[in-house]
Amino acid sequence: MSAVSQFHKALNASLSLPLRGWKKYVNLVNTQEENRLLAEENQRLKQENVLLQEAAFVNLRLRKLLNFKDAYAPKTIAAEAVGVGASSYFESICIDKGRREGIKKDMAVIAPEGVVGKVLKVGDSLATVLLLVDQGFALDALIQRTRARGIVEGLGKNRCALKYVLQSEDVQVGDLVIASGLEGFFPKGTIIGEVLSVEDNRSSLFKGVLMKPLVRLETIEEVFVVVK
Amino acid sequence: MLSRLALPFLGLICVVLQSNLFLAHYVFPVKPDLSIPFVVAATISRPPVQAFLLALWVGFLMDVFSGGFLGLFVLLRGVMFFLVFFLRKRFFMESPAYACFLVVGLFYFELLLLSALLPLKQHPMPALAHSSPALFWQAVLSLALWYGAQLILVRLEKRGVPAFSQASPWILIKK
Repeated sequence: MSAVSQFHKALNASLSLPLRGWKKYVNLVNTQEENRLLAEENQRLKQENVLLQEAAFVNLRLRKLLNFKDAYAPKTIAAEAVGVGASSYFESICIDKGRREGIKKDMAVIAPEGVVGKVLKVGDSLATVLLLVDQGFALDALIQRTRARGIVEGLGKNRCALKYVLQSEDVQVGDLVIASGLEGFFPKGTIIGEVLSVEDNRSSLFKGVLMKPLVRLETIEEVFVVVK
Repeated sequence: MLSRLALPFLGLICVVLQSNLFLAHYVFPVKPDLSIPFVVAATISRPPVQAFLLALWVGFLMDVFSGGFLGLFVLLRGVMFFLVFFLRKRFFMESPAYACFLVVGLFYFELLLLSALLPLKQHPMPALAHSSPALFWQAVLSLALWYGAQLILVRLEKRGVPAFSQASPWILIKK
């Protein structure tokens, strides 16, 4: 598996070089207009940042007053995706870190945008990650806005279902779904995805909630494995 | 020795290529599965024991490089070997047209087998209606890649590259 990992890396590097060169050239078109828009966006974000920093200071002060614990900061290992699952029936990727780097089965795999999946198989320097959208994946989750609880299950084709959400709960399209942290591997509050549609079936105990992951799983290249 | 390793090595190349990140993201519109044409070609053109071992080998590689549970694809490729072997005895399977038809059929056969096996592991069944069009294009792409690879390898064989001199599952394209 280690040799294959190296082979994958070499193949990816050699194949992606001409494509990246071409993309860089194409990206030069409309750069000036994009630059102006980005400068405006930057200015707006700076203002927002100041407000958020102020809110964070207030939050910190209040937490100290209430003797709250520090926010949970997970220890992670950065890894690079080197391959995708060989079968189209299982949604998985291979990463270039394994047992040697301290990766173990069932560890959480995340990206800056949210949950990616969990470690399924571990080799010495390669691991297989079962993606969030695989039909065998399940994770305890909360709706961020209302704290309604459910279980996220993969549906394939870049979609998930949030199951077992009671009819009495308030769930709306666009709500963020986060990890509850109950299963012990995913840090509480890690974003999983957003709600795409909500079906209120009166004959059922539960709502039918369809969601999509915020991470672009089909083109993911770098991930973080949560080791603690 | 090298020529004996040629076919297992080819199986490894097939599985590695279909699981390559760059090819999956930027080149292939659907994920191909070269292991199925590999099993068909091996069963048609190699002695039964060697073909069976090759089918198990490529199934093992599929298990290692996919997110399924170990042993699933070993079983599937083993069953496929027996099916093709059974058909080989009854029909003349060395025509490329028959072989193509058989490969496409095997993609659907695999879906049916998985539908029967996955619920045993509390894994939901893949939906036949949703998977059918994608499976067809997957089979077509796999066959196209398989024939493309054969064109290259037949040329190599003609030039006397020893590693492929006995690798005659290329019978699919020679006919």
